[in-house]
Amino acid sequence: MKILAVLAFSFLKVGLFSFGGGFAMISLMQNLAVGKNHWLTNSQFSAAIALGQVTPGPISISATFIGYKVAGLLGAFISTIAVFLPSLGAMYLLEKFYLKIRGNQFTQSIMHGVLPVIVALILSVAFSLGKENILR
Amino acid sequence: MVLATAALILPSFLIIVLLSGLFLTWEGNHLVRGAMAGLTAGVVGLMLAVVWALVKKFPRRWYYYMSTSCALLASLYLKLNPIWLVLLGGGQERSRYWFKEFVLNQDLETQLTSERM
Repeated sequence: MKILAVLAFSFLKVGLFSFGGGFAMISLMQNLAVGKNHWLTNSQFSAAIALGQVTPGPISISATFIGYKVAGLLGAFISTIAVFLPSLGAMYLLEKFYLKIRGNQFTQSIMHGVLPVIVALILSVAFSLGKENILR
Repeated sequence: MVLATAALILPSFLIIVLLSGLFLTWEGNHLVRGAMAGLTAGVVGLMLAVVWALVKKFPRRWYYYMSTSCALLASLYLKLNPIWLVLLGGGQERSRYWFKEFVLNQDLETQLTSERM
Protein backbone atom coordinates (compact mmCIF):
# COMPACT_ATOMS: atom_id res chain seq x y z
CA MET A 1 0.00 0.00 0.00
CA LYS A 2 2.81 2.38 0.87
CA ILE A 3 4.55 1.80 -2.44
CA LEU A 4 1.39 2.85 -4.28
CA ALA A 5 1.32 6.14 -2.40
CA VAL A 6 5.00 6.70 -3.19
CA LEU A 7 4.34 5.98 -6.87
CA ALA A 8 1.36 8.33 -7.00
CA PHE A 9 3.20 11.17 -5.26
CA SER A 10 6.38 10.84 -7.34
CA PHE A 11 4.57 10.73 -10.65
CA LEU A 12 2.39 13.66 -9.70
CA LYS A 13 5.60 15.57 -9.16
CA VAL A 14 6.99 14.40 -12.51
CA GLY A 15 3.79 15.43 -14.25
CA LEU A 16 3.77 18.81 -12.57
CA PHE A 17 7.33 19.87 -13.37
CA SER A 18 7.88 18.56 -16.86
CA PHE A 19 7.47 21.76 -18.81
CA GLY A 20 8.68 21.44 -22.34
CA GLY A 21 6.95 18.26 -23.41
CA GLY A 22 7.46 14.55 -23.05
CA PHE A 23 11.18 14.60 -23.59
CA ALA A 24 11.66 16.87 -20.60
CA MET A 25 9.82 14.27 -18.59
CA ILE A 26 12.36 11.55 -19.38
CA SER A 27 15.02 13.20 -17.29
CA LEU A 28 12.72 13.54 -14.31
CA MET A 29 11.61 9.93 -14.61
CA GLN A 30 15.19 8.70 -14.82
CA ASN A 31 16.11 10.65 -11.74
CA LEU A 32 13.11 9.16 -9.95
CA ALA A 33 13.20 5.53 -11.05
CA VAL A 34 16.91 4.88 -11.53
CA GLY A 35 18.67 7.49 -9.43
CA LYS A 36 16.58 7.86 -6.32
CA ASN A 37 14.60 4.68 -5.86
CA HIS A 38 16.55 2.02 -7.79
CA TRP A 39 13.31 0.61 -9.18
CA LEU A 40 14.93 0.01 -12.56
CA THR A 41 18.42 -0.43 -13.92
CA ASN A 42 19.58 1.97 -16.60
CA SER A 43 19.02 -0.54 -19.38
CA GLN A 44 15.55 -1.38 -18.11
CA PHE A 45 14.84 2.33 -18.10
CA SER A 46 15.87 2.70 -21.70
CA ALA A 47 13.58 -0.23 -22.49
CA ALA A 48 10.80 1.68 -20.76
CA ILE A 49 11.44 4.74 -22.90
CA ALA A 50 11.69 2.63 -26.03
CA LEU A 51 8.39 0.91 -25.24
CA GLY A 52 6.86 4.31 -24.58
CA GLN A 53 8.00 5.34 -28.05
CA VAL A 54 6.70 2.22 -29.78
CA THR A 55 3.16 2.61 -28.50
CA PRO A 56 0.92 5.17 -30.20
CA GLY A 57 0.33 7.45 -27.18
CA PRO A 58 2.43 10.20 -25.66
CA ILE A 59 5.86 9.39 -24.27
CA SER A 60 4.81 9.87 -20.66
CA ILE A 61 3.20 6.44 -20.97
CA SER A 62 6.63 5.13 -19.93
CA ALA A 63 5.40 5.87 -16.42
CA THR A 64 3.02 2.96 -16.89
CA PHE A 65 5.92 0.60 -17.44
CA ILE A 66 7.69 1.81 -14.31
CA GLY A 67 4.52 1.47 -12.28
CA TYR A 68 3.95 -2.03 -13.62
CA LYS A 69 7.49 -3.06 -12.78
CA VAL A 70 7.21 -1.74 -9.24
CA ALA A 71 3.70 -2.73 -8.19
CA GLY A 72 1.96 -4.73 -10.91
CA LEU A 73 -1.23 -3.78 -12.67
CA LEU A 74 -2.51 -1.50 -9.94
CA GLY A 75 0.83 0.30 -9.87
CA ALA A 76 0.66 0.79 -13.64
CA PHE A 77 -2.83 2.22 -13.35
CA ILE A 78 -1.98 4.60 -10.53
CA SER A 79 1.23 5.88 -12.15
CA THR A 80 -0.56 6.57 -15.41
CA ILE A 81 -3.28 8.59 -13.73
CA ALA A 82 -0.78 10.43 -11.56
CA VAL A 83 1.47 11.41 -14.44
CA PHE A 84 -1.39 12.76 -16.57
CA LEU A 85 -3.38 14.47 -13.85
CA PRO A 86 -1.28 17.68 -13.54
CA SER A 87 -1.31 18.32 -17.29
CA LEU A 88 -5.03 17.69 -17.36
CA GLY A 89 -5.50 20.27 -14.63
CA ALA A 90 -3.14 22.66 -16.37
CA MET A 91 -5.04 22.23 -19.63
CA TYR A 92 -8.26 23.04 -17.84
CA LEU A 93 -6.80 26.28 -16.51
CA LEU A 94 -5.01 27.13 -19.74
CA GLU A 95 -8.12 26.68 -21.78
CA LYS A 96 -9.44 29.70 -19.95
CA PHE A 97 -6.30 31.81 -19.79
CA TYR A 98 -3.99 30.59 -22.52
CA LEU A 99 -4.81 33.12 -25.18
CA LYS A 100 -4.43 35.89 -22.66
CA ILE A 101 -1.06 34.80 -21.31
CA ARG A 102 0.43 33.33 -24.48
CA GLY A 103 2.19 36.49 -25.59
CA ASN A 104 2.58 37.74 -22.06
CA GLN A 105 6.15 38.72 -21.13
CA PHE A 106 5.99 36.84 -17.86
CA THR A 107 5.18 33.50 -19.49
CA GLN A 108 7.52 34.14 -22.38
CA SER A 109 10.49 34.89 -20.17
CA ILE A 110 9.95 31.75 -18.11
CA MET A 111 9.64 29.58 -21.20
CA HIS A 112 12.82 31.10 -22.57
CA GLY A 113 14.61 30.26 -19.35
CA VAL A 114 13.34 26.70 -19.26
CA LEU A 115 14.25 25.91 -22.88
CA PRO A 116 18.05 25.71 -22.44
CA VAL A 117 17.61 23.62 -19.30
CA ILE A 118 15.39 21.17 -21.17
CA VAL A 119 18.05 20.81 -23.85
CA ALA A 120 20.67 20.10 -21.19
CA LEU A 121 18.45 17.56 -19.44
CA ILE A 122 17.70 15.63 -22.63
CA LEU A 123 21.39 15.63 -23.50
CA SER A 124 22.29 14.30 -20.09
CA VAL A 125 19.77 11.44 -20.31
CA ALA A 126 20.92 10.63 -23.85
CA PHE A 127 24.47 10.57 -22.53
CA SER A 128 23.75 8.19 -19.67
CA LEU A 129 21.66 5.82 -21.80
CA GLY A 130 24.14 5.85 -24.69
CA LYS A 131 27.12 5.27 -22.40
CA GLU A 132 25.47 2.16 -21.00
CA ASN A 133 24.85 0.87 -24.49
CA ILE A 134 28.35 1.47 -25.80
CA LEU A 135 30.38 0.37 -22.80
CA ARG A 136 29.09 -3.14 -22.35
CA MET B 1 -12.00 16.61 -21.65
CA VAL B 2 -11.29 13.92 -19.07
CA LEU B 3 -13.00 11.37 -21.28
CA ALA B 4 -10.99 12.45 -24.33
CA THR B 5 -7.74 12.15 -22.40
CA ALA B 6 -8.71 8.74 -21.07
CA ALA B 7 -9.62 7.57 -24.56
CA LEU B 8 -6.28 8.82 -25.88
CA ILE B 9 -4.31 7.00 -23.23
CA LEU B 10 -6.25 3.75 -22.99
CA PRO B 11 -4.92 1.96 -26.11
CA SER B 12 -1.31 2.72 -25.28
CA PHE B 13 -1.95 1.78 -21.68
CA LEU B 14 -3.21 -1.65 -22.66
CA ILE B 15 -0.43 -2.19 -25.17
CA ILE B 16 2.28 -1.15 -22.77
CA VAL B 17 0.95 -3.30 -19.94
CA LEU B 18 0.99 -6.26 -22.30
CA LEU B 19 4.46 -5.44 -23.61
CA SER B 20 5.95 -4.86 -20.18
CA GLY B 21 4.54 -8.17 -18.98
CA LEU B 22 6.20 -9.89 -21.93
CA PHE B 23 9.41 -7.91 -21.53
CA LEU B 24 9.77 -8.62 -17.83
CA THR B 25 9.29 -12.38 -18.31
CA TRP B 26 11.69 -12.60 -21.26
CA GLU B 27 14.21 -10.08 -20.03
CA GLY B 28 17.06 -12.58 -19.77
CA ASN B 29 16.57 -13.85 -23.32
CA HIS B 30 19.44 -12.73 -25.55
CA LEU B 31 17.13 -11.97 -28.46
CA VAL B 32 15.11 -9.60 -26.31
CA ARG B 33 18.31 -8.04 -25.01
CA GLY B 34 19.60 -7.48 -28.52
CA ALA B 35 16.34 -5.86 -29.57
CA MET B 36 16.46 -3.58 -26.53
CA ALA B 37 20.05 -2.54 -27.25
CA GLY B 38 18.99 -1.59 -30.76
CA LEU B 39 15.95 0.27 -29.49
CA THR B 40 18.10 2.17 -26.99
CA ALA B 41 20.37 3.33 -29.78
CA GLY B 42 17.29 4.49 -31.64
CA VAL B 43 15.96 6.33 -28.60
CA VAL B 44 19.28 8.09 -28.06
CA GLY B 45 19.28 9.16 -31.70
CA LEU B 46 15.73 10.44 -31.35
CA MET B 47 16.70 12.47 -28.28
CA LEU B 48 19.62 14.03 -30.13
CA ALA B 49 17.25 14.94 -32.96
CA VAL B 50 14.90 16.62 -30.48
CA VAL B 51 17.84 18.48 -28.95
CA TRP B 52 18.88 19.71 -32.38
CA ALA B 53 15.35 20.89 -33.17
CA LEU B 54 15.26 22.82 -29.88
CA VAL B 55 18.73 24.32 -30.29
CA LYS B 56 17.70 25.68 -33.66
CA LYS B 57 14.96 27.60 -31.86
CA PHE B 58 17.47 29.41 -29.62
CA PRO B 59 17.77 33.09 -30.30
CA ARG B 60 21.43 33.67 -31.11
CA ARG B 61 22.48 34.83 -27.68
CA TRP B 62 25.45 33.56 -25.77
CA TYR B 63 23.64 33.12 -22.47
CA TYR B 64 21.37 30.43 -23.88
CA TYR B 65 24.39 28.29 -24.62
CA MET B 66 25.88 29.23 -21.25
CA SER B 67 22.70 28.22 -19.49
CA THR B 68 22.60 24.90 -21.35
CA SER B 69 26.21 24.09 -20.46
CA CYS B 70 25.72 25.02 -16.82
CA ALA B 71 22.61 22.87 -16.54
CA LEU B 72 24.37 19.99 -18.30
CA LEU B 73 27.33 20.13 -15.92
CA ALA B 74 25.03 20.41 -12.92
CA SER B 75 23.02 17.36 -13.92
CA LEU B 76 25.97 15.19 -14.99
CA TYR B 77 28.43 15.95 -12.20
CA LEU B 78 26.45 17.39 -9.32
CA LYS B 79 23.49 15.03 -9.94
CA LEU B 80 21.17 17.90 -9.15
CA ASN B 81 17.47 17.07 -9.22
CA PRO B 82 16.02 18.04 -12.64
CA ILE B 83 13.06 19.72 -10.96
CA TRP B 84 15.38 22.23 -9.33
CA LEU B 85 17.17 22.83 -12.62
CA VAL B 86 13.90 23.60 -14.40
CA LEU B 87 12.81 25.98 -11.64
CA LEU B 88 16.24 27.63 -11.58
CA GLY B 89 16.21 28.08 -15.35
CA GLY B 90 12.78 29.68 -15.34
CA GLY B 91 13.68 31.80 -12.34
CA GLN B 92 16.93 33.15 -13.70
CA GLU B 93 15.38 34.21 -16.98
CA ARG B 94 12.44 35.78 -15.20
CA SER B 95 14.74 37.77 -12.93
CA ARG B 96 16.85 38.85 -15.88
CA TYR B 97 13.77 40.34 -17.52
CA TRP B 98 12.70 41.90 -14.26
CA PHE B 99 16.14 43.48 -13.89
CA LYS B 100 16.06 44.89 -17.40
CA GLU B 101 12.57 46.23 -17.06
CA PHE B 102 12.64 47.86 -13.66
CA VAL B 103 16.30 48.60 -13.08
CA LEU B 104 17.47 49.51 -16.57
CA ASN B 105 14.03 50.64 -17.79
CA GLN B 106 14.47 49.02 -21.17
CA ASP B 107 11.64 48.55 -23.58
CA LEU B 108 11.03 44.82 -23.63
CA GLU B 109 8.01 44.46 -25.86
CA THR B 110 9.95 44.95 -29.08
CA GLN B 111 12.73 42.69 -27.91
CA LEU B 112 10.34 39.90 -26.96
CA THR B 113 8.53 39.90 -30.25
CA SER B 114 11.82 39.38 -32.04
CA GLU B 115 12.77 36.55 -29.69
CA ARG B 116 9.43 34.82 -29.57
CA MET B 117 9.52 31.09 -29.98
